[in-house]
Amino acid sequence: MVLSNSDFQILGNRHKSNFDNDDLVDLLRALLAEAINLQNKGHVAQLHEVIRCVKLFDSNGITRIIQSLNEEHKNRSTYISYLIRCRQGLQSSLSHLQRLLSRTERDREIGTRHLINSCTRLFLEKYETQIMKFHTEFQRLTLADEKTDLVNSFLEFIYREMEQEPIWAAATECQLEDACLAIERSVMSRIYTQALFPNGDGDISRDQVYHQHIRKLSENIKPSHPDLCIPSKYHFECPWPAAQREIFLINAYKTPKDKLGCILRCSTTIMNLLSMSNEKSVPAADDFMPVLIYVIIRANPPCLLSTLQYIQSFYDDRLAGEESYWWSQFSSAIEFIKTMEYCD
Amino acid sequence: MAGQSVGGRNYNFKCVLLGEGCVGKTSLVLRYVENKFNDKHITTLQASFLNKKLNIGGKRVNISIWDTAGQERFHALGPIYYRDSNGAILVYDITDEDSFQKVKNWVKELRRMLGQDVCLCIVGNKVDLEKDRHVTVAEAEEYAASVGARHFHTSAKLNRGIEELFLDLSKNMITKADDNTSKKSSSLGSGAGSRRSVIVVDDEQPTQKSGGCC
Repeated sequence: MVLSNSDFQILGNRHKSNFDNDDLVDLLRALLAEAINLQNKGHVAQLHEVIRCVKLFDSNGITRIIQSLNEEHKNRSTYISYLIRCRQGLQSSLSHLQRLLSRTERDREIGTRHLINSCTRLFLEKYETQIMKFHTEFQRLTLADEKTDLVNSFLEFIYREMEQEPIWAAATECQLEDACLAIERSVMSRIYTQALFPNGDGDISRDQVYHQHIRKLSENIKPSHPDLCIPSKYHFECPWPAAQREIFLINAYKTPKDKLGCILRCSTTIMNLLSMSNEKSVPAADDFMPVLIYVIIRANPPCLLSTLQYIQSFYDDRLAGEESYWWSQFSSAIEFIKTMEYCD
Repeated sequence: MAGQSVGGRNYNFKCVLLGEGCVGKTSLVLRYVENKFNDKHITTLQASFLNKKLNIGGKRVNISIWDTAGQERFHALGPIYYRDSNGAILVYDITDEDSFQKVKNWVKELRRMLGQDVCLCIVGNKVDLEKDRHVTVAEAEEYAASVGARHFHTSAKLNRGIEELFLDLSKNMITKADDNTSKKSSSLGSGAGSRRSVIVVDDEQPTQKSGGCC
């Protein structure tokens, strides 16, 4: 019977009140109008038929129909609640499975990365002599752009060699990209010290001066420092320890790309924290800049100036889009800290 | 290289947003990118770097909008931000004479550092506060014309003039980019060699991560 489909629910709600023939027909008409509106042809035909049938009954008959519907509804309600509970259970196990799935995905990712790293190591072992030659040549060079060119051409050489290597033959685009990254990491870590401090002791002592300067600043730094003036609504999350942890790790990363990734994560962390304390509006550069400066001062990772120069010389031409924005923010924060004065 | 994509080229523009602290820079971009004003349900986590994709007459344009810290004490850091930008939006508050003076300073600096290569757009925001206006329309428009900049009146609150502003700026930047490419290719014989200095980007180059607004 048509009345026992989903519309039955709506009908059920009305059963308690007194119901006569006209009410039922009105309700059916409303349903009909909706069906026509939704272009539900089969439903329209059924409803027409039901209205015709209902009109044939007198009010006694209608009451009986409604009574029987009511009973049926009651009988079914336990089943319906059972179904609802089942659905709930299924939903929660679904979400549990999804969590497991994402955990496994992550494990797989780590596994693949490890595999690629091992392959890269094996692959690079064959080129040990070339790498040694590259290393000595790199040490010989003095001009910054010559060094950059040398690194780029050496990496390109390795990437070209990769295409001929059988271990990479079956690799997907994504895996190749990861492999290139791993190669870059390994090559850069070979020349890291020379690349980070091209002028040797000069650079190291420059970094030390800067480091000292920040340490002196950090002794008395407050969010309300006149050069920062961080609005008081942001003071609750101060001193943004999560962001400090991120940026402090910058020296653990060897390639310029990884260092940049570290800066990016620190910036996003700050933005996340800022948007937490800001319900009505969205944090923008005005809010971000002073906080970034504060975070850098408090974290005070060593070798900042050399890092700046390192990324500039080995990554500048690859910078694009969002990366380049946060990079600009970071480098201007470093510049700004140079000009800051101690206050008591 | 540039001719490979069918139906026109892809443009990647960088556009800096300059202006004093309280002129409503952030509201302006948020209104443009998300069509939101002080809404509680803002999905963007941050409004300092935003991307907007446009299609203008079959040309695909991606504008990266770089917000800058407007506080006076960060003024000296400007060059780090506006380096290599194709456009600059200079925002002032029509009720605040001082913010207009700041815009003038920015214009001078940008013209000095970037020359005619950058498209300038001067924007008088908060026209919903017309009754408190302290910068006259004539003064602002005259000034803009004298420095070769466009002038717009906007209200982020009422969503007025913003779409027009960005559309006009994009068209200007396209014209300038096309001019530059044709100049480059005529002076070099072939344009393919000088890719880096031109902002036109090929289809196959995946330059943009679509992060930023999620």
